[in-house]
Amino acid sequence: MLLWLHLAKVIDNRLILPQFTSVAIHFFHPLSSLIGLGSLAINIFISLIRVFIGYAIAALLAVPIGVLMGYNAGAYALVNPVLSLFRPIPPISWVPLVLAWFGVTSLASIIGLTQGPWYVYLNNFKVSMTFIIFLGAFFPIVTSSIHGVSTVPRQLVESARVLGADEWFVFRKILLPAAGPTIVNGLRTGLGVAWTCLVSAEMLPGSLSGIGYMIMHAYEIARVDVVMTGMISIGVTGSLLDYFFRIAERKWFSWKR
Amino acid sequence: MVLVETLTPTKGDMRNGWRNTRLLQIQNLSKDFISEQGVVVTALAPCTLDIAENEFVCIVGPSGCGKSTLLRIVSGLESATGGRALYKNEPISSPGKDIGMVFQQYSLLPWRTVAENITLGLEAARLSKSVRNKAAAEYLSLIKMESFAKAYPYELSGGMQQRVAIARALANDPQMLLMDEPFGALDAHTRILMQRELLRIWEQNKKTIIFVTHSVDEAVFLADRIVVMSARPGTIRKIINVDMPRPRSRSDPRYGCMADEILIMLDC
Repeated sequence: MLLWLHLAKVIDNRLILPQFTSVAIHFFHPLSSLIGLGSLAINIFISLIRVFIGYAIAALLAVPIGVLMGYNAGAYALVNPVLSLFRPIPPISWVPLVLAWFGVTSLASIIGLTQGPWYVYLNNFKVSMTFIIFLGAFFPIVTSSIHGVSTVPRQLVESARVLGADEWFVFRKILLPAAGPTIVNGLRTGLGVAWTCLVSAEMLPGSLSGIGYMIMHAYEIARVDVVMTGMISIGVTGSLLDYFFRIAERKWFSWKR
Repeated sequence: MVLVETLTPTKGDMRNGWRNTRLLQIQNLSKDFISEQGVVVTALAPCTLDIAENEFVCIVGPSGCGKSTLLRIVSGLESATGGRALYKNEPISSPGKDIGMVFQQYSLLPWRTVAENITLGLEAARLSKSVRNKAAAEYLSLIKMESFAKAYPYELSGGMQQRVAIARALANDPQMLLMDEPFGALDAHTRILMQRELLRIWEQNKKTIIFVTHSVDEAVFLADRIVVMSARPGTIRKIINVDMPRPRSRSDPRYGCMADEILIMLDC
């Protein structure tokens, strides 16, 4: 921070490195409008909601698929070739295709709204962007779910089976809890990736709000202070999300040592 | 060489009156598997052995003699490739409540408390919470760990973890208990304490126990009969009756003689 203060003074060009105070001041007024795009808080909020929608869909699909694949070798053999083909494709490279598929379809148009205050609000949540977030979150979650279930120590499963436990009991009471920490770790990684993807997606054409869009727009009108404000917000929000996850992990899996 | 044991009544029989002398019948049981290189490996050459109710049998042998394989087949976790294992005259096909098993280590569920681990089998049998709580209290007191009901496995020493594993197996009330080197990972002193502890529990419950170990000393201390196995091919070399009264003293000359005899047998 001291380095920033010093360098800003030396460089003395707000297009290269704005003054520390000019960036900091935005954080003291999170609710006032920035460069005509709404406040900092509302843009972060819009981005967060977007992430949670795409992320929730990804988690709801990836965990069961991953668990099934880790549990059943047949399911793994069937699905894994497809997954490993799609996994290396960066979510962002889907953008052109996704825009062609979904265009500007949003939550608002899905439920048939064309006007009104709810339209303005819901129109922010585009299917295309949700899909990109979904892709970003899906693969880390599915991979760790597979890994979590397939690496449960054989001894734990066997010790339940010799007590007469049936397959369903072993699945619910041994495999799932044992794989829990690994699955949750994947959920945590997935959320991080989803957040990064979202911000990148918001920087691409077709977006009209969100923290990523705010950065791009600020860049176009040469407001580097706002660009930096956006970057710092992304970092802080991302690490806060991660932090909450870590707290939950520590609370739920205190037995894991 | 395979010795077929003919069962003669022992002092124990007289004490307990009638008992099933063929609770478990192992008949020409063998196990081959195909290695990754495609070679057929014999894990267990044909073995024949009868085990009576309430009997404490130790199986000793060098590593790779198939003693664990034998135990796993009897537990139902693995299937044999030859011969058969009969429990109460029925072939063993899958694990069940009647035959319990204690593993060497790390078999407790780390996310469950000691009490919840002990009642795992009862939960699997869909028994009510009150039945489970009662069983937890009973078996915690059997292993003298009442104050550890709410502790987690990682908070326990290795010896305590094994006591919980034994309690978990017993709480399921199996008729036969298989123990696969249950004290193998413990230090020498804890091991001796656990051996005494196991005999005390066995005296109370009188389960049939098959105990696999590679410690000759442990076998002589615990067993009614010792099954000595040899490696390559893994098969039964000799079955020895241990007719010393319990508690056995390690300074008893007969104790040392028997241990020596077995050690010599294992050497060649």
